[in-house]
Amino acid sequence: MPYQSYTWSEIKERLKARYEAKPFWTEEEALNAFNESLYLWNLCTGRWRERETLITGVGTYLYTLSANMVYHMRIEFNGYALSPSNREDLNNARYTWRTETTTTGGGVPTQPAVWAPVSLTSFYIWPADALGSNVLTADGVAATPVMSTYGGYLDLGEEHLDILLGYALHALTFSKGGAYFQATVPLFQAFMSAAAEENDQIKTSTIYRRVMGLDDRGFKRYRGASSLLDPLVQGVQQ
Amino acid sequence: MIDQDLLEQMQFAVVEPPDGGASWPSGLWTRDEVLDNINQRQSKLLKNALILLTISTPVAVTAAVPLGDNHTLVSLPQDLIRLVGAIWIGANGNIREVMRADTFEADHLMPGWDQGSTGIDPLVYFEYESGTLQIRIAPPPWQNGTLTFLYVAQGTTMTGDGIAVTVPAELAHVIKYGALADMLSKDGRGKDPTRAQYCEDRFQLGVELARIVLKGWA
Repeated sequence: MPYQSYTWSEIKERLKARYEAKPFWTEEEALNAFNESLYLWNLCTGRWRERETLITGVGTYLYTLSANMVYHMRIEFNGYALSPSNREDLNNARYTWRTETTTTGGGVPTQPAVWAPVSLTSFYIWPADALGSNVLTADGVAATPVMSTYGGYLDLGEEHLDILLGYALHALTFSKGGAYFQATVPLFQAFMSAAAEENDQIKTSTIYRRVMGLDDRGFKRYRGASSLLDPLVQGVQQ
Repeated sequence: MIDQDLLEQMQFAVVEPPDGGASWPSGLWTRDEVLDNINQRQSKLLKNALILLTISTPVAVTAAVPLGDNHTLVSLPQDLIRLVGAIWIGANGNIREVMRADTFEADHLMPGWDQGSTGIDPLVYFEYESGTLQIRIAPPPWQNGTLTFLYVAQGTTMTGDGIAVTVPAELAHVIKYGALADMLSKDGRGKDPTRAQYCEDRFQLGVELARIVLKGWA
């Protein structure tokens, strides 16, 4: 289904269709719960992205992105993609990497070849640009567009909206607790399962498997294995 | 997101009248307890996920002539909750990252390292065999230089007066669930082990997601 723009009024009506009788939450709680689903969805899948441009400084190897970008995914130098690495690999491979620039010579490339994340909004490049005034382009995840009662639109696919509404319902039932809350856990699992389909790395996480109830007997799933294997394995272990 | 928004969401979750966290009339929790919980969970998230790192101002280290403890002991920033790396910059322009080690390694790989300068720049630092908020570097520096630390700083203390949460808004709910886990684990009328375990799982999931985010995409 193609992306559509939803307003908060439309989302509210869609949420109402998911429960019967009078809700035990206020509209403000419903808005908070739906925004929480948006935050978590963006964190898991990087759904909303943007591009930011930086100008290189002479000999500078550390760069910081603006607060609008939650985290970065890809870095280019004058249109050429840099290979991802990490600080430990740089230290182990070339302990003098901080002093090396594009004019160092020897085995050092003549343009930045590698980037390494430092934190959510900062990264290193190697080698540093000796001349400066070149363009670094960062493709990253933008801050989540949250809903408010004052208007605005949300661009999302129909299949994802249903998943987010399910999460919102699950979050709203937390305050009631007990069996009522337990009954909505499958909605949260459906959310995480959908997020894992978008981002395979989540599936390899032990805590993800525990949250999904896949580690009850200490069985560790193989990466990418179908969840239909679990009842079979539990039968064998008995 | 500000702390009052976070506190109000927590009030909704435990059926307290929402007022930005100003009061908790049920008597099950006090405002100070809740504030302590959210601050501790914020620090725990920052420390375990390593999502926001700070670069310290350079700390001057003098050459080990004459040799003494003051040439190998270096003070760490006061707001440090986890040290990630230390970068040595010598007076001659040498820059290298000083690696984490311990005295067992140093004693066996660099015998006599603590008896005088070896003529090379510091190679390693010991974090756990020195005083609180101090590290020891080895071998002692033969030249003057500076040490710059890459570390996790303690988040801004939330007071309930409109302080911005240190982590991005996408991770604020992780702090909420962590604090709820602490509140619902408190012995007494408010104890709810099932929901407390759920909240703790949600906090751990949030930490794991933050770590995955920094690793990049599959």
